[in-house]
Amino acid sequence: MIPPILSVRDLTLGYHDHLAVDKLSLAIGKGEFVQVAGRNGSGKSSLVKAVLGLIAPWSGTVTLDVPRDRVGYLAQGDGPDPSFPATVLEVALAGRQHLGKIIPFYTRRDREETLKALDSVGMGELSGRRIGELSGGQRRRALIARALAREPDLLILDEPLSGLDHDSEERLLALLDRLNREAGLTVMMTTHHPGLARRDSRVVALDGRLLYDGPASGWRDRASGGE
Amino acid sequence: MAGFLDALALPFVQRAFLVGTLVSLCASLLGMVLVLKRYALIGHGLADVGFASLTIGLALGFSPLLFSAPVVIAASFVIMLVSQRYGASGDVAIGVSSTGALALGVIVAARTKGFNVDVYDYMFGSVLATSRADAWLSIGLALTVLLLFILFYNRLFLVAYDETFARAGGVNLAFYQFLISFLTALTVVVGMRMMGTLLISSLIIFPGVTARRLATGFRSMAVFAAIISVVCFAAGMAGSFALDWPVGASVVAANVACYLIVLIYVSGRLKKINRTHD
Repeated sequence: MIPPILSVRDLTLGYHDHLAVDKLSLAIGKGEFVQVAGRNGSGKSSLVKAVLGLIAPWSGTVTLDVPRDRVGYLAQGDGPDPSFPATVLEVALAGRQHLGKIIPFYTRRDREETLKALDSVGMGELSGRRIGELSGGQRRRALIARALAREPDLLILDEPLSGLDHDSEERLLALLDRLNREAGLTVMMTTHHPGLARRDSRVVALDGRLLYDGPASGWRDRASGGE
Repeated sequence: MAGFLDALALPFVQRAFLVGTLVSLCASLLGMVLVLKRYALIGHGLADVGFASLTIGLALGFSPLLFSAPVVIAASFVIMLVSQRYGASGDVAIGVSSTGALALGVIVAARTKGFNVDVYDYMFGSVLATSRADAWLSIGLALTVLLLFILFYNRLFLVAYDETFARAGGVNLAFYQFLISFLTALTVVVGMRMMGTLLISSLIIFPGVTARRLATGFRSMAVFAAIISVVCFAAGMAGSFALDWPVGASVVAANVACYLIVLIYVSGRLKKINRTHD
């Protein structure tokens, strides 16, 4: 049994009186690649937000085996207000702000790791550009670099592929594969696209409750079987 | 100009110039964070609270600056608390507290010593008003603001740019929101003597808005805002001596002029870029 990096037990949460996630339990082991699948409104993003402490559960527990600032996070969409004056490097460097540092000045190592993260997503040459001038896909890569600059133990991506063209999608998936296989990074990624469980990773399918938890191939068989 | 350079030999003008430069620096740096976070009107609300507390301080015979500082800081916390709790209606909190405070100030002023020179100076600012004790207090407060801004610069960027990411990383958002309002309150208190309570908020808003048009990043915006603010302050002060205008109004006029010049420059540059692309 791989030691879990994240355990969710009997998690129930919602907004006002709308129930979004109902008694969900799951554990993600170190080094796993987990795709959280489900249609819009199935509770994927709510689960992610509860894991990150952005919303409080109604009941149940979320246990992270790593400090919060060792979790890399990409939110849904193309990032904050594009008119905000920030360079790609400034945005990515923000990933290096760890809570342990009371006065968060950046060190040379912070810069090196950030540039490495930007290079790994193919954004090294655009580091001086204003982030609002970039395309949606490039902005998202810069935000992934920010998550990677953190040198995370767990990378949580909320719908990282939505709105990307086919090539960008392939490149991003290849990058995540590489980080998972070579660096042993634990990846948890949500997707509302039923066909996107393309690699042989674990799939956790939700519909408010847990629908399926197993290999991607099994989920695909189930989906093509008309269920 | 010669009039201003001659005047700079006078100790009270030197004091005013030093305090004004420091206040301009503080206001521009904090102002850019407030502008980016769409909290720009907080400065205006706090200045009105400052006016009320100054009139009360004067009526009771306290040092107006020492009396105002805690009142304005407390008001900044209340405004931020209401904004956090009721979200978008934060502007309502600012509107209510600022007009309420202004009315209170006017009533206190009218019922005590009337609208004498002191009250007029506090509303529209005065260079002469900066006493030696005020100057030392102002310099101390301004340096505190600058130091805290530099120490928390990266965190302020994170909080201003992406609150969700900051919270997900465990950053205590409320602490930084209170830090920003605390620093803004200090800046308003220090600046309102010279700029006037009615005009101090422009020192917070204009440099940030102008710099945003020119900057590619957060750091360049900070540099532009600081330079614009200090240069406009110096130009406004020189103009006030040359034209015999009140200093607060002259500094605001310099900021308005700078904003318009930058607006024309940036739209000209955009047209040129569009033509090259056509």
